[in-house]
Amino acid sequence: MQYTTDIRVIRIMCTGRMDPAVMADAFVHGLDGLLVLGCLFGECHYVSGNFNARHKINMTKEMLAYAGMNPGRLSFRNLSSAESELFVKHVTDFSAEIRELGPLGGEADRVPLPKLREKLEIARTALAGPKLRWVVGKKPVFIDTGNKYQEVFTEHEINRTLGGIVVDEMATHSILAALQNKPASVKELAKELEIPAPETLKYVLGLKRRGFLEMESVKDHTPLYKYVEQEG
Amino acid sequence: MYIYEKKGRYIIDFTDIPAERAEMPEIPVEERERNMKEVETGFSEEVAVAEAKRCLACRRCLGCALCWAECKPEAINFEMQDEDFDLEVDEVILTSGMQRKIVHIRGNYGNKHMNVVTDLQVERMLADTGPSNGLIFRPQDGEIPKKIGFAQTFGGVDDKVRDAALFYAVNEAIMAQKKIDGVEISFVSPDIDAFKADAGSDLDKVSGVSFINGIVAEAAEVGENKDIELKYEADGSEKTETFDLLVLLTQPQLPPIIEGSAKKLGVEVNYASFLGTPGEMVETDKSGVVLAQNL
Amino acid sequence: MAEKNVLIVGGGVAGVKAALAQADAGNKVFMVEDLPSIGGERIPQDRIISDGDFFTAPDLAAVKENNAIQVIDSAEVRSLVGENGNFKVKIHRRTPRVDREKCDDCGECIKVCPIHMYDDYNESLEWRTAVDYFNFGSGSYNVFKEDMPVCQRTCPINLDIRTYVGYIADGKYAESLATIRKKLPFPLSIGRVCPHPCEFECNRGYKDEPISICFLKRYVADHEVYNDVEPPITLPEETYPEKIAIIGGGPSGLTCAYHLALLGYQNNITVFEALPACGGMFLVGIPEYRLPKAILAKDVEFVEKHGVEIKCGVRIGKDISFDDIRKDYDAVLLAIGAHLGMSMRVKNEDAEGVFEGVKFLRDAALGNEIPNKGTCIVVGGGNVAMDVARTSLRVGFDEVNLLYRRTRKEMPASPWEVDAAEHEGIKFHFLVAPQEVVVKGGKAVGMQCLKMELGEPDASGRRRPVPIEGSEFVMDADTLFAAIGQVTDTSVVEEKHGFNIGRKFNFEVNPKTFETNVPGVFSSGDSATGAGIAIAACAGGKTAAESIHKYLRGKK
Repeated sequence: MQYTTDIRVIRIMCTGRMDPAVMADAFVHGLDGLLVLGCLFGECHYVSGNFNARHKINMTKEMLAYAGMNPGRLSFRNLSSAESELFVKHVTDFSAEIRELGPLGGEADRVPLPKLREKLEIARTALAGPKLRWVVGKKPVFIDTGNKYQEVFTEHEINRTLGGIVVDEMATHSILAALQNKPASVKELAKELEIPAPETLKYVLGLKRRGFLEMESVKDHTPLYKYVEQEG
Repeated sequence: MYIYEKKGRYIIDFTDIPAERAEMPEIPVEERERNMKEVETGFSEEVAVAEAKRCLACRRCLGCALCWAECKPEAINFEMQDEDFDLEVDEVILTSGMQRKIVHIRGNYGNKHMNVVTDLQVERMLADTGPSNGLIFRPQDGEIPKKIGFAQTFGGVDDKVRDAALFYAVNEAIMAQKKIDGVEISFVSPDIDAFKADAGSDLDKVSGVSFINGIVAEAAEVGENKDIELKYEADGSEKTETFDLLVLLTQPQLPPIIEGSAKKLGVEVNYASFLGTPGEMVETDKSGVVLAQNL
Repeated sequence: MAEKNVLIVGGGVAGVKAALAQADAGNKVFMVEDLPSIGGERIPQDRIISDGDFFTAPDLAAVKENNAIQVIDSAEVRSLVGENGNFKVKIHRRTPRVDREKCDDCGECIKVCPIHMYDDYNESLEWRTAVDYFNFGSGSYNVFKEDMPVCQRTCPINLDIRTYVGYIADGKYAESLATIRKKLPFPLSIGRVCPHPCEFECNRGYKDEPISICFLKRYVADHEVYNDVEPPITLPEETYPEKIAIIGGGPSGLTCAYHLALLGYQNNITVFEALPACGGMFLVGIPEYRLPKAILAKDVEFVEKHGVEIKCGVRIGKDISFDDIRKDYDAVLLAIGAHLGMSMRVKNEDAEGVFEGVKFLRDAALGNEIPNKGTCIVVGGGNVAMDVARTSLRVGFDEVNLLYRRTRKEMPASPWEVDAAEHEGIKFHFLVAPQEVVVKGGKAVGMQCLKMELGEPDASGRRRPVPIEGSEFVMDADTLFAAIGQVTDTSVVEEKHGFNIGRKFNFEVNPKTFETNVPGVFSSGDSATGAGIAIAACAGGKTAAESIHKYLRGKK
């Protein structure tokens, strides 16, 4: 078996264990592409591992794309352990695709470096938090038997839901990260983070309500907000 | 007041917004002449799926139970159901409740402008337990306004109800004036002269608020900061003033629970029925039903 | 004096003060409030404030500690009757889904909840999460869940739009159609003709444009037809023996029949239709170019296949008496629609050449003889007027003039119908009121009209048209159509049957159950509500089916 030397193989027990924050971490560290190769659907040793992997990877792709990275840099493909030729094909194809995209933060990505790295760091923090992980974990249940109210979701609906949380989490964590550096006003945050000011205000007030922020001072008609250290 | 219009309707800025809505294809007009052929021809699969994907799948509680998983005292319980129960009481006390109506002027009254808010919203801003530590702010950018306008857009209500609305808003103007250094406040109402007669000497002592007996015409959003340009008629001429924030007066009214209860009891009440001596209990035509006057 | 029980409606500042006073007097207090919490501080509205007197705050802590006061928030008063000393109250309380005895206000839940929404307590100035407190400091946590999204809530029959549109996005068309058919048996027809109130409320409309909900319904329904898929029919195993007569095979009657079949009355339902075919206004009100008869027939056939017997060409009161129906059936639904045109109340209205718009549409649909030469005038501004005008042009009139006494903006017709009519060459004349039909030799030859202008807005904000004096003019026409509204022809029943007839010549019904004042007889659709939109008639039919079921099962 011969294949490109561009790649480095990392063995994991099951693609279902592939952690979204770890995938984001790879790109924070400057990786140009990440290919997750898993078993064929229906052949999972743990029954649903690769289905869960697909949900998680799709969600991670959406998050990273929202952060400004070309989603083509992350891919999930399937093969059985006996298909060495297919392995070579997947690896060769993916390597060619990444060559086409060029290095991370280049023309293929919506946001250039070093800004992209900052955004990917935020994405990593959000992916490590409980919200997206919990909801993406509920996806198969919601589609199959329903939520706590026995309401069954369509796939589109759960994707929308996850997409919404992605937008919210990126904004929330960007604001928190910015305020961890220094106190700022809503206007300043909006400009720096490129979020419309009225939305920024809503996020800031929401974070204040939840005890993450507080008003620091008022300077000439401008309230400044600061980050509140969290316990635990 | 865009935000008010969307009450309960928070919509996430998804990346696929804006996207065009699918148009229904039709046969050309020439093909419709002198026949009954169906005009609309239906979506193709591609168009239908793309259109369906535009759906935002609005939902409030997801029923994901993350809160339930995090709740240490195990207080959250998704099994809890609505309850119906019967009570037997000797006496019923009705109150006025806490509901208010917004009256737009001639359909175009700036109801989408960010920096137009209601007096109810200002009350929440002024409250220490409110969202802003008691500061008045502009929904556009969170800045504290330097020039505030108050405008009354409703008319033709009971004098007592009108005075209640004006006391409420004038008190807000007074508090704003005390809280914000050097703020300029204009208060435009067609009933200000009548109100002055009812409010008595206390109103004369109010400083820093200019009261204008005027009729509000329209409001427009101006400039990068989305300030509000208010047009109104006073002293027989049209005037224009620009504000950082415009506050709309709302009209007090009874919420359905009060109105419904009174109706079930056969008691006739309106908001004015609750505007007597503060805190007093007033008998109604029906024995055993009293009205708690507003405080 | 003995301890009294006192009910306080409204948990505002005054309510709280009254509650504390009553409790001090030794009484037991029940305080009901419709919001999820009793109120916070308020700015006074009875005096000019002075320093330190900014807010009047209710003593929430005192209420909490006082065992004599029971706060019932998120509540509705469903019934309240009785006399001094003896009032009986029925209360419905929406669940908060948070056990407030256990909740320690730690706030962990609101830190993890992934859903943002506007905070009603703070007048949408900030966000709360789906699980959150309502009023700061009151400990009133709740999990806020809407029963349905806004589109579904707006739909008269509460179609689960979010789900059926979602299934289309997923490419699962059969599931989508099945979701619609849980409630509505007419996806092909409604998907074509519904004025879709849901779309005006669609949240996406605030950002760009609403979802095209109605046409998506048409798409999945068409998909089944175009792919020759046999619609799946599922009927319950448990059945009931009672016989039900449905008078009128329109949207409401057939929807009722469909739901009765789903409830277990299949093969015991008979629909009596006076016209030669079923469909009601779908058939004879909506023109072929908007809803082809062959398409409608598919929807009707779907209902029929659920064990519904359809007898066409049977007019009650003529071919079979209402008394016979009452004798042979355990329950009856009157869903006879509104097929009588309303009068224009102008002189010479009964002249030859003046027609009711609805009758013209009916005759055109049934292939009967209709006027079709020369020029015509259509009077009215609703969707029926548009249908009459667009049909007139198609059947052969050379010129069609439409008169409406207000402006285009005030027209009740759907704007896309108005656009289409104009596009096809209908001539619109706004701010024109008909005064008198001009008659020559016993035949109508035109309409004398008066020009109008818009006056001051009335209480509803609509500007009233007022006539311009001396502006009379005559518009020539060979045929005149009045399309200014329809009412029900209640002559299927007689006075001796004792039905209460309402102001709109409709059968008076209980709006919740659609039961008439005659036991065992129900009425839904236009004949109960006055002329309305088709989906509302379907919704009424569904509710009537549920009421009939309750009535029949209650009798046992």
